[in-house]
Amino acid sequence: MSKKIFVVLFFLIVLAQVVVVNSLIVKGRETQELLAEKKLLQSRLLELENEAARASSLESIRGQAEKLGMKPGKLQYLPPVPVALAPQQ
Amino acid sequence: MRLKVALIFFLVGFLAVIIKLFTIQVLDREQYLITAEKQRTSSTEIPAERGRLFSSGGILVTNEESYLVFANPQLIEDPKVAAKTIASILLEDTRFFSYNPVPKGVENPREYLSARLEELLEKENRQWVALARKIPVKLMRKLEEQKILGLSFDPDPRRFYPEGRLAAPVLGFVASDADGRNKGYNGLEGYYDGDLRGKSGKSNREYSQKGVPILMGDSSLLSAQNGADLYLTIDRGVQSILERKIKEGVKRYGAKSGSFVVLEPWTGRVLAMGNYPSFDPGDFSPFIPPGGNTQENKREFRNLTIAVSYEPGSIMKPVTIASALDSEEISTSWTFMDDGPLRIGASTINTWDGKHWGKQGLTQLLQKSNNVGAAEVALATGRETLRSYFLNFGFGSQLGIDLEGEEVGLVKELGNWRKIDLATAGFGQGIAITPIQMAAAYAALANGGILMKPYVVDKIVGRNGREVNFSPQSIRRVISPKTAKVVGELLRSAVSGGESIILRKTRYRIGGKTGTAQIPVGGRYDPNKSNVTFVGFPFKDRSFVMIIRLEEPSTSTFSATTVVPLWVEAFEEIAPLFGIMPDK
Repeated sequence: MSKKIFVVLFFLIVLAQVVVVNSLIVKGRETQELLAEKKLLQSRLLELENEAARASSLESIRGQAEKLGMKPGKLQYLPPVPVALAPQQ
Repeated sequence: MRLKVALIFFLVGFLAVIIKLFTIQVLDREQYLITAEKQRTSSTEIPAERGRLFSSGGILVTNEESYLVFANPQLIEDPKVAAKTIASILLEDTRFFSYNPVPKGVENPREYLSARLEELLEKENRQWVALARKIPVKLMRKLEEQKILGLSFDPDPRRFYPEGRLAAPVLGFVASDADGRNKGYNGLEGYYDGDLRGKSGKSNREYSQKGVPILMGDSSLLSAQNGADLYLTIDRGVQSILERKIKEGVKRYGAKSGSFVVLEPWTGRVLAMGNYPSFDPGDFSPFIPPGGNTQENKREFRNLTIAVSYEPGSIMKPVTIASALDSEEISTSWTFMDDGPLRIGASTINTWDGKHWGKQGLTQLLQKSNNVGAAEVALATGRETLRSYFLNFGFGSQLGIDLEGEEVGLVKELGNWRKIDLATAGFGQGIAITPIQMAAAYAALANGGILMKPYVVDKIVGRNGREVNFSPQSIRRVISPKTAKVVGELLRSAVSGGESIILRKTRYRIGGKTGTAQIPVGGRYDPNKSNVTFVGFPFKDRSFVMIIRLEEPSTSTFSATTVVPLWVEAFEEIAPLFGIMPDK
């Protein structure tokens, strides 16, 4: 009887070890995949940050404005008129 | 007997095994431990991110992902084919030769690259050869797609400039030092290299035979310390306008180069600074760009406002007058008789147009930019006094601006100041200055007499949030507030009553002075070559001092028809950004 229990226990231990090792390998692979994904996302984030910086650069804004048909204008100042002298409505 | 022999044979065998095991496990333990460690652990350098540079309006310099391409030649199947494939992809990067320079004398860098790669990949006795630095991520992925066995990549970030060439002479650039490490050259990249570069980290981790990380294995991580960010005093809008105007000016007047500085007189903050031609900070390879070395393609890596000195000419006259008034060698009612050229020994000093005006005061001296008058003021002041005021105004020494490459200019030793040297120094000959020195001197005239140290960085912010703020620093008081007020008024009348119609017509009240300085060639001043400069400020607000210089304009040698219209146009464009309204 005790011999049978010993054999069963032995196989259970072997099985447990196989399961643990297997799960460690799987987790290791998952970790590797997650690290690769993190790297990819970081890379994409940097790319997007740089794209945003380029899009908000003066050169880019000027280019966009020209595409929209805008032209550089000359500022015209109107001399301030005192309220008391403003034309009556 | 046979049994005994067999027994002895086995005993000797076992003994040999035990000795070998003892040697491996005890005597050579350390060596084997190291070998095993090397096999299962991998150490990776984590590059530090170089600090970014911000202007008042946005980001000027940041980093982009790029890679070091390296190979194990022992795994490369066909070096010739691999080299050709790799070279064709690498050459898609327009900045390739900036980061991967070829030796001097190479005429065709493209052919050289292919041959060099082949040579490296054929080195079968080596397991690691570096092929190219700072290859952008898109090209790295393209190389990966080629599935060339033995080709690998390591992160090697490079600089990215969202604003392109904007403020390039202020920024400087980043290239490699002799050890292949990133190093800043010129400008801010050079001056603040220690703060910007940061410290790289290291990651150690255990891997299985197949390269999968072992979850329960040993690992250690020394994080990289990223470089600090610099927040600049540069105003993106003003800088952009001035860069456009200086380019227009150089082309319109056929000048060799043009440079500008806009300085806040009360603080010394540099709001804009630059020159044309300039360079692309992302492309600093020494090769002449396609199309030849034309004016458009010419690249100037120096910051011409700090690194080049020249004889300033008449813009020196207000400084001479300020020195004379402040030292009380002359008074505001001082006059001189302009009845002909001034003779000093064998030399003759004449007015720029040969005209003479009789009795003249300080106002007329500046309005007519009279060389005879300026020489008389200098002679009345005396060499020791004038020289010491020039030195106090910051000429002949570094102002200490936080940029790499500042030139000192030239103020002769006292022993070399003969009478004629003193007289000509009064109108800016025989002395050499940089545009930043003259801008700082005029800032002192505008702010009540204090020479402020010009600076470009407002604050340094570490990635841990630690901030170092820079505040304005006065170098010294140069002249009294009373003298500064008088000279300020003289500068205003020099503009409003001067000979430039453009200056008289502008709707802004401006204080300033023109300068036309002939260039000495072979010991004589060449009448066909000049440096033209205008330096001035809005008279009421005095929110900035702006100097613009054109080198050797070809359409005219005079400042009134070249740099003055350019300065006024630039002024009228930037004035609204300071909230300055027309005031006359």
